[in-house]
Amino acid sequence: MSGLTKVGSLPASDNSASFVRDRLRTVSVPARKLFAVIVREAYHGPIHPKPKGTASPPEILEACGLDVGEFYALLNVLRGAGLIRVSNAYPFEEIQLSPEAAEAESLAERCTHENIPFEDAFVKLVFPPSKRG
Amino acid sequence: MAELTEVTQQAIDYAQRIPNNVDLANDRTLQRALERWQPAFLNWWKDTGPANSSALQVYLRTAVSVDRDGWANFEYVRMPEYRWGIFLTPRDESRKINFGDHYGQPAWQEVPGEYRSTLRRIIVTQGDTEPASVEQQKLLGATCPSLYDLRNLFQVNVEEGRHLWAMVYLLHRYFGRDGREEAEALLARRSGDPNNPRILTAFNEKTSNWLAFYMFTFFTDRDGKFQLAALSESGFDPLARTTKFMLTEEAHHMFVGESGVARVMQRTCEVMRERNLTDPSQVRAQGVIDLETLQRFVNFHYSVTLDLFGSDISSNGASYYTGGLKGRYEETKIGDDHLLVGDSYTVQEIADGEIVNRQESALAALNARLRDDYTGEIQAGLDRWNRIPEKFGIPFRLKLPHVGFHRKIGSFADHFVSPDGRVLSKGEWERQSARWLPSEDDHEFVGSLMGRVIEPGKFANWIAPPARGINNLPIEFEYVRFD
Repeated sequence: MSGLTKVGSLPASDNSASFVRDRLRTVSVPARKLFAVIVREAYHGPIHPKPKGTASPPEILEACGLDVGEFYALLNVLRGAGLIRVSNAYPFEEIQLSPEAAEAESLAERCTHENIPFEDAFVKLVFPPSKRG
Repeated sequence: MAELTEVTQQAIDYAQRIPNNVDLANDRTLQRALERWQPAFLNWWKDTGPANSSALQVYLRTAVSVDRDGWANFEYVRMPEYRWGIFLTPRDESRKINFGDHYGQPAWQEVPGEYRSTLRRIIVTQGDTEPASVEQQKLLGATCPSLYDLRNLFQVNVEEGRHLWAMVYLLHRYFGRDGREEAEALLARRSGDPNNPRILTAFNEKTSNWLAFYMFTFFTDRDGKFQLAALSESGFDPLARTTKFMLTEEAHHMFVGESGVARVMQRTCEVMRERNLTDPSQVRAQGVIDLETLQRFVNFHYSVTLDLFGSDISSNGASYYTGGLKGRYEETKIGDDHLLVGDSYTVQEIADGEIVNRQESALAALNARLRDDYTGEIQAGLDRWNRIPEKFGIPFRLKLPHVGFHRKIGSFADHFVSPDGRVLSKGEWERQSARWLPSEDDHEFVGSLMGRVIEPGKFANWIAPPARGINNLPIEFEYVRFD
């Protein structure tokens, strides 16, 4: 946990994760877990033969083993919270972070750089401090 | 046989060869049981697993642990060398029994003597379905619509094999000699064999084409999900922890089914819209599956899967519950006393030629309740499928038939009920049922579309490509190598 800052003690000047943090607080833990998977698959998957920032149901479901019905229900929750956008019609949806939640990409990069599990940030809402200076 | 003999004679590196989190390396009893069973399993796979597939290199996901990074490891594997692992979700030391007569007591870590034979029967029945589905799908590889789909079939197959391992682990570890004998019998029965069939009727039917495969993984694997979910509530903790991890893999199988049918509908609707077709025979003439045929397949697979839930009213179901062996779907999320004594549940039956509701003991009606939970999820899936014709402006919607339609088990067995819930005479049923269930002609037509497509990135005409490939790879990726 070294290098992490608890949400409550996040420096006031650090707004980098504020939208994501605040919206994730309003959704359930399973929805947060799905959001972490979406961020990983959209930006940090092993190979990127696709538009950066886009994830799709097959890769998400294969990555997390979530039930299809539960997946779509949670997807609606994340969409309702303004964290993601879904384009294209079923069954070919493309999932992107909303412009307001795009900061999740840099947050994920910081997690990767600091070797911090995504789940600490996106599920437990314990964020790595941003780089300064 | 040389390979199998080698397996038995070498000192096995258990952690490497059999990924596990059950301390297999230090469990000599379990090692000895598996040293005997594993070669038999490989023989079973060779005999009844996917036909002509031993030399293929398949881009598969292998679970090497239950945590986030261990669940989805992708690599090329020859299926006989797939590392079938044994995984239980981590133990919660404080876990209690959450329902029935033992409510509130610590979950059992060993088999209670009074429930030994019942638990063994539950595990064997569940375990028997796993190899059965592999046997049912043995020949599908010869007619795959793409490499992407072929890989998905093989992924489902190896994971059903792993689920067999999961059940065999429980039999070996907790049931002694009886368990070992049952584990051997799981490899001896054969789907469709009149002399030694699989336990449940639906698992003795052939999965003869890819539409049936997608329907099976959507409808019948979802029965598996609900049975596993009920067992994941079990007071016998090793069973609960084993089935919880199996559910992760089962979820993906259902996605293969749902997306498969969705892609079939997508392709059909594309053709109907492009050519302005509505007549099923004209649609068929374009080499795609008409929506009416899809409806008949839905009717068939849904109704035969409902039979897998057993009789609506079941004393076995009640005793499994009161004994703490098998709970309800999402038991711990239900806000009642988890005893159900004196509670009631509405079931349907036929009385005086009409379908009527009747209040039944909630304990006795647990099978009906689990089945109703299942139907709710199935309906949600159909609603998603129906977005596709809606998107194309085609006024066709798939519908679930009435729960009493085409039933062989339960209160509707021996009755004749139409898809819209009318009770019919036998004569009326015989005159009309061909409109509701897949006919020989339907099977022949669907079968006629099944040709093997193995060029990377190419797909059979009757099914749309997926939007993306596996594990972020392009759909043109060579998911199966034939060299």
